Amino acid sequence: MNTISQLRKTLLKAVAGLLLLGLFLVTSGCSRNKADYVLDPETLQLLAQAEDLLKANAFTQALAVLDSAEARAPDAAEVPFLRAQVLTEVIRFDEAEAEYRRALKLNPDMRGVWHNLGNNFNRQGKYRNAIACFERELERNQTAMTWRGIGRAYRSLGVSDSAMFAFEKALALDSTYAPAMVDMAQVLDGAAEYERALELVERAMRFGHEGPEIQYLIGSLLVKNARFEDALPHLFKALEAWPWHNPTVYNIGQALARSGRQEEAQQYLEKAESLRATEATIAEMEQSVLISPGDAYVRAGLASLLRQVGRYDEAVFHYQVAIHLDPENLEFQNNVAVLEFLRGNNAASIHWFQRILEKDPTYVDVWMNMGTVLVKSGRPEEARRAWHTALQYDPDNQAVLANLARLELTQQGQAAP
Amino acid sequence: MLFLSSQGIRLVAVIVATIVLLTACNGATSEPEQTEATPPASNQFGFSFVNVTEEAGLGGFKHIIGDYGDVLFPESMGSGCGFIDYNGDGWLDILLVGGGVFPRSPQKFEYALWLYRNNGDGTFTFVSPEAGLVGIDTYGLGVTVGDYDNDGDEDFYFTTLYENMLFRNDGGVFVEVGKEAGVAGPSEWSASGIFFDADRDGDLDLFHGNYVKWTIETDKYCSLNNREKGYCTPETYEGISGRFYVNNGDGTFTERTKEAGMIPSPGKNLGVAEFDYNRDGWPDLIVTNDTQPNLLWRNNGDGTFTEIGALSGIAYDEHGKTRAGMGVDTGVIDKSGEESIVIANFSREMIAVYRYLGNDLFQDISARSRVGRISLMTLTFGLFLIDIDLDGDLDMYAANGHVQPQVEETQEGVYYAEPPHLFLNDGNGMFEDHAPDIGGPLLVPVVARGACFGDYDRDGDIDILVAENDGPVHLLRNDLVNGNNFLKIKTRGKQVNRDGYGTRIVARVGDHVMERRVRGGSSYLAHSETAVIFGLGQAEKVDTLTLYWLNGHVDTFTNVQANQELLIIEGEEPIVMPRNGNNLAAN
Repeated sequence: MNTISQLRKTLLKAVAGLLLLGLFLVTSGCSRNKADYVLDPETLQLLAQAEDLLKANAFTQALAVLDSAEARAPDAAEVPFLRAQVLTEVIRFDEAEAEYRRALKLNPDMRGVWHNLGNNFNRQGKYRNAIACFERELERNQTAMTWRGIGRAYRSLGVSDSAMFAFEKALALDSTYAPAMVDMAQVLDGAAEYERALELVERAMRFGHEGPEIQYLIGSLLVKNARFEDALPHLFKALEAWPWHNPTVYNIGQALARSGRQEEAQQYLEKAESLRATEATIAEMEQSVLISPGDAYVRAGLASLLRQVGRYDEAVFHYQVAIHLDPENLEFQNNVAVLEFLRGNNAASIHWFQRILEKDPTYVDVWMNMGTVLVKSGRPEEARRAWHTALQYDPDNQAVLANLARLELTQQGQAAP
Repeated sequence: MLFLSSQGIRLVAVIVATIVLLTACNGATSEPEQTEATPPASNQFGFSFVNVTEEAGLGGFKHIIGDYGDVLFPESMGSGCGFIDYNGDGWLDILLVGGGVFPRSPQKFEYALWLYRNNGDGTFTFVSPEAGLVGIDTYGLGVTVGDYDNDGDEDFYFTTLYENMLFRNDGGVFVEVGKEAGVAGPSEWSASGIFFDADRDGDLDLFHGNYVKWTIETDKYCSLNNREKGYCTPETYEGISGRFYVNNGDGTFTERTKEAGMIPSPGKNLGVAEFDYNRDGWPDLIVTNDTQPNLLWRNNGDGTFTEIGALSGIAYDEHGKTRAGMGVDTGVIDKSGEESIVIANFSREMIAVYRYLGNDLFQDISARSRVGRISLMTLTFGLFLIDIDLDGDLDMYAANGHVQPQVEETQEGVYYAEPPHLFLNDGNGMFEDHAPDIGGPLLVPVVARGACFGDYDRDGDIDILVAENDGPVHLLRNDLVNGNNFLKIKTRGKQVNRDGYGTRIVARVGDHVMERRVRGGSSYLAHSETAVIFGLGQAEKVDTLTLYWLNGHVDTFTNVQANQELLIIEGEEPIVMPRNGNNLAAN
């Protein structure tokens, strides 16, 4: 037996195998196979329903609908893609990542997956992973949004030059993309290039972006440029939309102080400090949510703080996540109902109350709250019935009795000639 | 000889290919490069640093945090250091805070205070026992030096986690007199202290910051990663206001915190510095607070202070947010002639730089000064302004190091041990961090806390001392070779306090005007040399040297020769201090 010859043959086979393996990997593992998957109408309908539920922050229901969609179409990448978005909203990042990777397995060319993964990593502070994912997305799909994601990740890493490069790329793709203008302006702000920052923000305004974020940014840049009188109108506009925003209140105070209006300045600065203290507590609670995403009470705590400062939209969102985590918690649901009322969504508010009462008809506070909303909705008789029902369970409830008495007086006043 | 079977060869090939595949598309994470300290080479800046800790005889020191696994909040805060001439021989001695232990800690704790006598030859000798600094049972934090009894030797105040201590210097031996002097205070977590003559009556009063209400029993559970306990941030604790003591002139003090208008205040103080920002002749205080608004106490000249931090613009960042507020210093950093304040902050917070505009208003120039962006990701504790290259303007040294050992797991771009920043001033208040260029020990990541400066080898340039948390001290000798000249001034008051604290000294060289202040405090938990050093560049004399003493007396001298140490006694001609000829500027 010729051992050396056999060894040489084996070696050659191994090398050939290695080369073939490499060729296979290059052509298949990283290739862009399109999934030839066509969704049936019912599955499409389920996906649309899941998207609507996600937009309404009904996370549990959204996941349930997606399960149904998956049962019908197990190879549809859209299902894990949407599921990942739901899981992201409730900060189940690891599971979300797994779903995004499943989507990629089913459809390696699916647009948006790598981008969303990048966003998830950004939110977790894993910026370099985020950048890598955004770059993968760019290989498939060049968008201003993805370049912006890269820019934000670099900014968080303190690498300003790379951040600026990415934002410029975003604007090269879409010269009207205001979020990138704002981000770029913030980087320039940090480098004290206030004039350039102002130009960018004013450009964003010319494209119709005049919301409180832009108003605040312009106002604060003008303060830095010692243009205090020019700054104030912008800051007051921001304050109108964001009465809880301590940076705005603070900058108003500074602008007033430097314009010689010391007494007014002092009032705003004191208010700013009060808001700051609350915002600091909110920031702590946000951190707790990130550390304990599965704790419904931490979520609810954050929602409660946000409600206190008038950030109703965010409060509703966090309560809804809390409900997803603890679906049987009727107190959370009551809070959402109240918040909907505060947001002016009376019908939605009443709907929430009714759902709670279906589960617990003895919940007195809910009967009382619903009655209040019904009165404000011009439905006094239903309100009266709600309050009387409350009194069945709690006959001495002073608040309910007072409400009824007030309603009587109001109606007598209306009935009098 | 190892012989692979044919199957084995195929297996190896597959494994190699798999490894190649797995490493193909991952995002890269990078770690900070740990660069070994290389011997410093001459560079364009004309100076370099050498870590002479061992050769100076300081290698035996280690700060103890006294941990035993419970991750207690004070373990993260480190301690301070100080330069003090305890024996009055003209050579700067070194005073280090040893930290402490908690009752359950198995660690051996030898000395709360480590005093090293300067031998005058670049080395130090440990002298705590002979100086009376033994048997001190406490958990120490900071030191601040001042001749509070005006008897000609340097005393010091020692802040701790419990009652503070005042060490009176009796001819080179220290006696603890905190209680009898009335400055021990209750058992509370204190921070930086400062001697200053608040009422300009000729003796040194005392202020010290306090941090948070904390005991072992009330230590809270916090976690960065939801797996293991980490150090909490101060938001989770209630703050304690600082305390202000007026010197009675007889070796005792009376607390006047309330009468001075200094409470209520949010507490969580970490740094304090004294200056006269509005040039009214009365010493003011800047107090930095951790996650609370910084305080600017304007001295009203009548025993009271008015707090104007928020109105003046120094309490918060530009968006009205509080920051960590650790080390602090003040000085004139540009040609405006106005005071600026620099404040050390947390990671993802810039070092703050505020310049006085007039009318009790400051402008945030952190970004404009180019300090901000560079300092964004580092966490700074010790911080001070010094003319490191003797070119006539104030540069800035920032001693860095994080508080959370697990920070690298949870925050990309942020590290636990960090190298310092050395910002060189271009003369117009614009700074560049040249630590990476200067190299040597400035490249080495450490977990720095207290930092101070002084010309310990009396060669005319400024050396740096840095204390590490749970680690050694670092003595960085400045080896200046650019040929720049200096003038060192030590003051002695007669009507004013003997140290001359509060004296403003202005040196004019042609059109160039420089200003320094004789004072204690600044940085973090630390005390720097109180003699002031002017860098003169290539100038061989100071045209006019003016001393504005705290009592309003003004001394002016002309054509003061460079490269000498002068003792200036209030109202008298300068005295040239004898120096060792072998220790002149050129190394």
